Amino acid sequence: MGANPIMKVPKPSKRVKKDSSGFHEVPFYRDHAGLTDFLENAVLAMHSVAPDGTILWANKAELSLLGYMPEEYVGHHISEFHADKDAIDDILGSLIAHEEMQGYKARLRCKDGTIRYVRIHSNVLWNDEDFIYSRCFIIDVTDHERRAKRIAAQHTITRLLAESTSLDDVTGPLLESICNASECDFGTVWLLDDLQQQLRCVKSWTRPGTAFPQFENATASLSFGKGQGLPGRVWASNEPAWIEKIGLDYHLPRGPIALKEGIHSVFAFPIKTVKGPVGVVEFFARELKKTDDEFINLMVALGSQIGQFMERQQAAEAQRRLAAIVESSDDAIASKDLNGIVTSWNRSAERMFGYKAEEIVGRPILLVIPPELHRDEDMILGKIRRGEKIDHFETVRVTKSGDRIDVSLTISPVKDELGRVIGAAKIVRNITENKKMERALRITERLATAGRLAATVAHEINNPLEAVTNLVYLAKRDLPDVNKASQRLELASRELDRVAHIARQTLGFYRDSSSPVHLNIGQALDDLLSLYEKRLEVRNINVVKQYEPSLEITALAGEVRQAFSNLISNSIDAMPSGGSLAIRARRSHEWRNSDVPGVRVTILDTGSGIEPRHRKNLFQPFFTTKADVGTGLGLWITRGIVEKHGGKIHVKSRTQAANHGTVFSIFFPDRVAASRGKSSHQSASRLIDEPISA
Amino acid sequence: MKIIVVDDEPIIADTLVDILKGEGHDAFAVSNGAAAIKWAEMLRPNAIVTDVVMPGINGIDTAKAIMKLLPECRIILFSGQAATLDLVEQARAEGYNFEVLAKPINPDVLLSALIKPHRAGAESAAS
Repeated sequence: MGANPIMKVPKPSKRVKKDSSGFHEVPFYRDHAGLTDFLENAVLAMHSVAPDGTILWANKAELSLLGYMPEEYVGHHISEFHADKDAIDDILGSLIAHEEMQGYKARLRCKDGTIRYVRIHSNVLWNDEDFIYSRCFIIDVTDHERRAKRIAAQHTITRLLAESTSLDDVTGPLLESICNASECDFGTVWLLDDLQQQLRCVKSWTRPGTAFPQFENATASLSFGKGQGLPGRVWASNEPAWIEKIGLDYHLPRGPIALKEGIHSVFAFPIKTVKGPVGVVEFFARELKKTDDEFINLMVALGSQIGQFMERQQAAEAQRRLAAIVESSDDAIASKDLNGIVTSWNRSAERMFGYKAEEIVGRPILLVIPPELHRDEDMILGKIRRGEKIDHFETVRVTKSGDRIDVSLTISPVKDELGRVIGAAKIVRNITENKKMERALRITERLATAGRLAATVAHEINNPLEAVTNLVYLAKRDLPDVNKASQRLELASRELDRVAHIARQTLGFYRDSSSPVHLNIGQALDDLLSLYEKRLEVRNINVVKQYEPSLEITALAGEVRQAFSNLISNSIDAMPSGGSLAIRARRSHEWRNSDVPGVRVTILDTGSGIEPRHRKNLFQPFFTTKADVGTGLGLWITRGIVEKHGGKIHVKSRTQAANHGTVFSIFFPDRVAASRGKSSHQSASRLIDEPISA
Repeated sequence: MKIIVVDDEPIIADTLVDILKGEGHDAFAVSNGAAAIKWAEMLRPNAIVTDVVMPGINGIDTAKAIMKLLPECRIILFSGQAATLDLVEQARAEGYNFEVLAKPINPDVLLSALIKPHRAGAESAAS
């Protein structure tokens, strides 16, 4: 066959003229020009190829599809226009073997370098065994093909991100998937190195069968700041970028290397998170890639998808860390929902209560609450629902083995992201040991007080006894003189009365006081003042008393006396060189709850006062500002006694040179507040509702 | 001996003076430390018998003051309080030698203590 462009077509056989059955003669079919027009100008791309592969003819549609001028196409070898070299061998091979091509998928290169996906339908004109020419039709399926590839890639990527737990695992397959879908040859993932504010390459993928050694090297070793290079620019703008043809005018650091190794197009998109871009994904192709808006949209969506994946990973990591902290904490930590059902239980809680997590999660927290305190749980849930926190609530809990333990609870509401309370988290501290210590301390203080009292009593008694000893001695000596002896004995008798009075008073402190009795406040205060008479005198302390008549409360007499005694003793100690002690007692009501009647006693001294920095520690055990006297437990014990009776204690003090002194104010209710049987519990309810002010 | 008795309780000071006079001593009673120092200066006694816990200047400081005036004077401290012993130890460390007797004391014990010669670093006669 020569280069004769005109086909030799066999003469068409004459068609039968239309008869009554309705066959018409179609004018073009007979007319050569008509057929030529039909084939030449149809919208479907067609061509014909010689057995050696030379293009004999191609119609306008085909030339237009691929963008060639006739002379650039017809007469050239068909393989020049196939992107995949072995495709044409495959096709011709089949045709020569007398096979027909139906929908053979191939990729054709357009004049501008882009690729189109096509389906080729082809058969051959044979003359016996001679392959005369092929009849080829080309269907452009580029759009369809691209779309299918992209959807497939989307599915793959979505699946990858859903199933994977680490970005590391996912980046390689991700790059491969996108490269395949977009016919790129090289892909990289850049991530922000938060500390240094630089983008670094964390993964790259090269299409098998290709290699860009220098470019890969450059990519791996470079890092980009904001605005630098293509990754930096995408980071700065938070928008995708597409460069159809890398030219030196783009000022890209890797530009020259890219061109040298045959890379023409690049596109990149940011990995977006709520806080902004955290990375950039880049793709490079050897073949020119025209800007494709649909593809860009896809990549933008993908960027967000990957960003969300990373955010999810970080959240999961943070949660894991938090869970690890809770689990390993020495404190028992548990959580429950608003119905009181346990939702989490850490190892220390297991140790404290004896229930393993599996045994108690999903069951009511009431399991560990003693039956008589079940109502507490309602109160706690009520506060939690209102979003309130409960701090250091002292109460009792029960372990799996039935043992009761004293605990201190701190309970906080747990809220969802909308701020609604969905449950409670509690930290439980076992304070049984603490409580034992406190009890021991109280006993120690009581003993110490007893000791101090004994010393005071001894001293108070020693003087009268000294007098009596001397008087009896003198009476014996003066005996012949009955009158004189009688006088001596009279004086001795009076001194012995004094001794008896003191002994009675002090022994009164230690009468068994396990049940409340009627106590006259005025009398109790007077007894104390009488006991401290000498100390007051020695220090020149002026005493002013102001009692309302008949002030009585029902209380543990010994303890109330001890409380007053501590305060009076402290006042005396505060005035070593004189001053004024004013004691006032009157009927009153509790400050915040005027329903509760009782007695208020104020003890005022004009000593140096309590410095503000000591104020908050005043009632702590072992706190003292006295250098060598006392155990530091007096005020702590005093407060304990006051609280035990359901009363309140306040202090005010001034330390200025012109105005100094301290006032303690104690309120005792007429009747000890109804106790639930455990004094620790009683003080607990005080702790929740009305913190002691000091 | 010439003795000054110091105690803020008159009944104790007076009965002690009575007892001492009955044994032939020359005894005077005062009720506070300041007076004791003044009288000691004037009378120049051989011994002072003094309570420790008194209003105003206490027995130990009184004793120290008198010691300065009359280094040869014997000082007997008379106390119903155990805390006194610490203060006496302190004074001893400062170089003062005081004797301590605990109230209530049998008058015979006091009398015999006065007759016995005073030894340096004398121990306290416990009752």
